[in-house]
Parts: sequence; C-alpha cells; structure tokens
Amino acid sequence: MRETVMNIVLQGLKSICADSDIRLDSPGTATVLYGPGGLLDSIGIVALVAEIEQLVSRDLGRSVTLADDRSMSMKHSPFATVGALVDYILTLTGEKL
Amino acid sequence: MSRVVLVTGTSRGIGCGLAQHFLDQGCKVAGCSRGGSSITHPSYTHFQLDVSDETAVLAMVRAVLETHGTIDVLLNNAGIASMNHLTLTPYASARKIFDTNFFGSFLFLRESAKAMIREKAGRIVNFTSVAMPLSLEGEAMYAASKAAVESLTRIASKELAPFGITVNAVGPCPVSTDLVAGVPEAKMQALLLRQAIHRYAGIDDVTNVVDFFVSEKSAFVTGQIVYLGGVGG
Ligand SMILES: NC(=O)c1ccc[n+]([C@@H]2O[C@H](COP(=O)([O-])OP(=O)(O)OC[C@H]3O[C@@H](n4cnc5c(N)ncnc54)[C@H](OP(=O)(O)O)[C@@H]3O)[C@@H](O)[C@H]2O)c1
Repeated sequence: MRETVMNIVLQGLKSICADSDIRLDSPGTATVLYGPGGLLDSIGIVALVAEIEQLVSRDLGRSVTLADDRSMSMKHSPFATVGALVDYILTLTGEKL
Repeated sequence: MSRVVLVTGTSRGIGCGLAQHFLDQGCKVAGCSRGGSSITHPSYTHFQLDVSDETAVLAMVRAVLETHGTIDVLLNNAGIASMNHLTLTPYASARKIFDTNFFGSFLFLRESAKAMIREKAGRIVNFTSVAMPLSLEGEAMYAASKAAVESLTRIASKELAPFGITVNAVGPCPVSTDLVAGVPEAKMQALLLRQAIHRYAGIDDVTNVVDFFVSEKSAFVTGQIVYLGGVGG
C-alpha cells in the first residue's frame, strides 16, 4: 500500500512540475515540497493537492480531503516532504504506517 | 465536445430552468436537491443531497468526475430564504440559511475547483440577490448569507485566476418561484419599485447573465457581481 501511495504522490508531483517547468531530479521520500528549499510555491501546492486527491480517488477508489482540520493544524505539515505526504495519505486511508 | 455543467438546486425554480437550458444546448447536466428530480432527460443525472453535507457533496463530485471526467461549469444556485424580523429569527433558522446559501456554495466551489484546477479551465457562477445591496428589512440572515457569497466570489476569483477559472455571481431581483411565494404581494410590489425596471425577472433574465459568465469568450470576466432589474451594488 505504501508503495502505491508513494507512486501516486510521485506521479502527481511529476505532473505538476512538468506543467510549471520545475526541474525534478530523482524525487524520493526526502524531497522537500514546500517551505524553505521546497519545489513548490503555494499555487503549486494547491495544484498538487487537487491532482493527488484525484489520483487517490481513481487508483484507490477513495475520496480523501488532504487539506482537512487535522492536516492544517499539524505541527509538522504533511505537505512539507514527499514522505510526510505519503504518511498522511496512509493515515487518511486508514492504513497502518 | 459538450460541456459538463453541475447545477445545485434543480428540483424547481431557477435551478430547474437553468438545468433545462443547458440540456437544450446539448450539455451534460448533473443536478441536486434534497428532494427527488423533476427532470427526466438522458443527459441529466440527479443526486439527492443536502448541499451542506460535506460527505454527500464529495460523493456527488466524485461520481460526476467518474462519469464525465471533468466539470466545466458550476452553478451554485441552491438557496433558501426566510423573512423574519431579526429579533424573531431562531438561531437554528439563521444557521440553516448560512449552511445552505454560504457553506453549500463553498463546498461545491471547493470540490469543483479542484477538478477545474487540473483542467486549467472552468466557470463558476454563484447566486446572490438584490436583497444584499438593498439591505432589505426582514431579510437580515438571507442578505448576510448572500454578502458572504459575494465575498467568497471576489476572493475565489483571485485565488483561482492562476488556474484559468473564473468566478462570478448573479443577483436576481424577484423571480416568481417558491422562494418568494410566501412574501405578501404588497411587499413584493414595494420591492419592485426600488428597481430601475419595475417588474419581476423571468428565469430567462437570469439565464442570460449566466450564459455571459460561462461563455468561453468570458475568460477575462471574473470577480463580478451582476444584479438584475437595474439594482446597483
Ligand atoms: N426567486 C427569487 O426571487 C430570487 C431572487 C434573488 C435570488 N434568488 C436566488 O436564486 C437561487 C434559486 O432560487 P429559486 O427562487 O429558484 O428558489 P426555489 O424555487 O425555492 O428553489 C430552490 C432549489 O434549491 C434546492 N435546495 C434548497 N435547499 C437545499 C439544500 N439544503 N440542499 C440541496 N438543495 C437545496 C431546492 O430543492 P429541495 O427543497 O428539494 O432541496 C430547490 O430545487 C437561490 O440562491 C436564491 O437565493 C432568487
């Protein structure tokens, strides 16, 4: 399951980066998405969230809302890195980490 | 390719007229209301839900995307009104008005916008009312909910502009639907006199403004509120 979610996040990230001409070198768990040194600005994060929610719905058959009360108030943002986002999606879809 | 149009509040009144209008143009229309559908057409799908039920809204948007792949146009039409003096307005009824008119519009806007962001195109039309600029007595909660819708419209137009999505609002003056059926005729006539053109609006008058906002040529028109009947903002 983790691998499926990882693939979803990477697929979403590649598509957003391609759209915005952002260079993406071998992305992985530690890739910083947002914040200092991050790949995306706030508009990029908005686009990524929309893309990933759609991929989760298509590939996992589940509706998830990534920007929910929990994620917006978390001390460590689930949008900070690829790994954090994968963990958060697994939590939302009820999978054990 | 025919456009996919999502209209809320399609069981009767303006929403029903809008749904029929877009079906006549060959669009695929998805509509909703708490009650059943009054439209039978091969290109129409009805969802029975309350627009303020987040889970149901998510499920509807997902189902529309699964069937049609996209949402080109969102018409946030569903709305309720309740005429009452401020001091006689139950808290529950104030909440219900905001839940339907404002939070319902917000939920559909948020979820449809995500689909439109992926397409880098989309048209969203929200529904306000002349009750807002005219600050009508007896309509404090209704007008306040529409003020919130207008604010949402203006800010959403800025936040969604980078994705090629326009967000506008139409503010009808009175249209003879169930929404105003309970208002005494004398009050309605007094209201019509406050417009530049002293008559009820027809559903066609509303459709005309909506057509302008959703036209593919209106890509540079966003964040606008258009009132009918010559009422100023
Ligand atoms: N008519 C006017 O004079 C006038 C003037 C200015 C602005 N407007 C605005 O125009 C819009 C349409 O008004 P209208 O006159 O067509 O009203 P209407 O005839 O009363 O119809 C309202 C529609 O919305 C649906 N609806 C209401 N609450 C809902 C909810 N919680 N969830 C899902 N659907 C809901 C109703 O179906 P169910 O009851 O089955 O749910 C119905 O299909 C509203 O936003 C209104 O504020 C109307």
